[in-house]
Amino acid sequence: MAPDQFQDFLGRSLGLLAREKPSVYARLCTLLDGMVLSLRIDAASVLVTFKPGATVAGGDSSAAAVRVQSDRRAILDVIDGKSTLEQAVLDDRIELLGSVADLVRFHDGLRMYLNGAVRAPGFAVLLDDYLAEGPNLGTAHAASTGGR
Amino acid sequence: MTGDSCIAGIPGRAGPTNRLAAAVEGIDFLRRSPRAAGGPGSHKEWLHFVVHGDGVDVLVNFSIVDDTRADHAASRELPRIVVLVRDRTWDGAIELFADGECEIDGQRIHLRYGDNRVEFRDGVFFLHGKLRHRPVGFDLVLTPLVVPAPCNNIRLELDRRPINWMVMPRLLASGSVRIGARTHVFDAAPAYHDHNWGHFQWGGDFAWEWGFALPVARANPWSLVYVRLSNRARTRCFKQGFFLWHGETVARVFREADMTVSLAGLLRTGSLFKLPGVMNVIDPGCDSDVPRFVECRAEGSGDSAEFRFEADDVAQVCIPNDTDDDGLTIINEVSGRMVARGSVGGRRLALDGPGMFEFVRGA
Repeated sequence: MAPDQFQDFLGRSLGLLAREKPSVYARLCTLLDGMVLSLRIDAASVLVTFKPGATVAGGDSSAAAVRVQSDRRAILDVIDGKSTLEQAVLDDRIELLGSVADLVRFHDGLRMYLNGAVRAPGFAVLLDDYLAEGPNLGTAHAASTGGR
Repeated sequence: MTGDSCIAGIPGRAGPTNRLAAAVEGIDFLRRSPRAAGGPGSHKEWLHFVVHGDGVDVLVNFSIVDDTRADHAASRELPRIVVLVRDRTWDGAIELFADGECEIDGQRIHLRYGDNRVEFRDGVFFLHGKLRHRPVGFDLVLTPLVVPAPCNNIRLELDRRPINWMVMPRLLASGSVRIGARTHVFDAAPAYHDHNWGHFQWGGDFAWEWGFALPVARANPWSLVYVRLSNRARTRCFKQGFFLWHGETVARVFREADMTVSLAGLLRTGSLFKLPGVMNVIDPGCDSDVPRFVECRAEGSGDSAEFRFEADDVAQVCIPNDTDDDGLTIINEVSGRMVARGSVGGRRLALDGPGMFEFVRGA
């Protein structure tokens, strides 16, 4: 998978959240206001800066309050329930760096983002595209929105 | 007695009676949302199927619901399928489909969502499906054995519009289900079907417990459905019922004060399968408040019956609330076994077999 695919996925997903669940997007931006987030997934490095009502790609890397480093397999294992987020962190499959206060805020933001994702029908297609672009991991059932 | 024989009013494997097929066609058809025609939104409709094989449970749910988000097209409906299978462990997925991938006919049962379809034709249900991201597929033919029972105008939320439920607890399933490298073949396996439609919002002030059980012995004429509706906190029971079919027809319905229900113990499992998978991050952990046992006693007008359901395993279908941006409603799909005894209309009730219960809980 090309390094920019995760960046593309994240950017599209935040845009989709803004369109399909604007209330969640606004709350997410407020919660993480001022935070610079550094994500490195496999070879892809992404910086996201949160501002009131908006997320901006890029930012000052040295100012990142939370740094996340992982790989696609670990992320999908957590989403698939094969590993808990806590266990993946304890196993160093997902590395999180930041102050306790910032990590707690990031975790709250992650749950808010995912709560929006399961309410936004467009995420299913987005995740299908992301999974189709990557190596055939053969296990992910992440491409679901919740419902019945 | 062979499996092809007609026993105590239960039709043989050759197929349903014309009367049964007509009864199904007369009640089990898609209603669709009235919103596009100017009616109210928040319509939800689903077709639910469960098959119990030898060492395998299969749950397939086709749904179509109004997209209730305020800023989206007022006529949009969301077609979804939920598939849960259990042999060594649980597997499955929730999949959502775009309009262009779907064929949905009103006034009958004919839905195609991508590679998944359900159809009622020639007196039987055809179920076919293949999940996109899980190695799960199914190809089943379900033959109705009992007359469906309508339960209309059920108010989940007392101040809201009602929903409707059609239940047909006993069918025969033949075909196959593939889970990974394993293929399970069904030959006249017990199966269940219901159909729900109406207006409500997930996250509203309601919860339900619902379940069914089917006898292992094909010659056994009894089948059983239980339901109880309450407020979300489960401090007030709005409605409860205990339905017994004997042969093709409903033999007895116990309701409300006829029944005493008790939940005992807590089901504990080493892990908890959740759909969609991302719920493992949003709502982690494997605790649930699913009871280990459900016991029900009922009596009235000279009839009496009781059952004890013992839960064996649970998987969760987690549904985002319509009413807020971060709450969930959890449908605990619980497989287990039931024993029922009693006397109804002078006939002895004796049922021992697999069943599946749902426990809806707020989270």
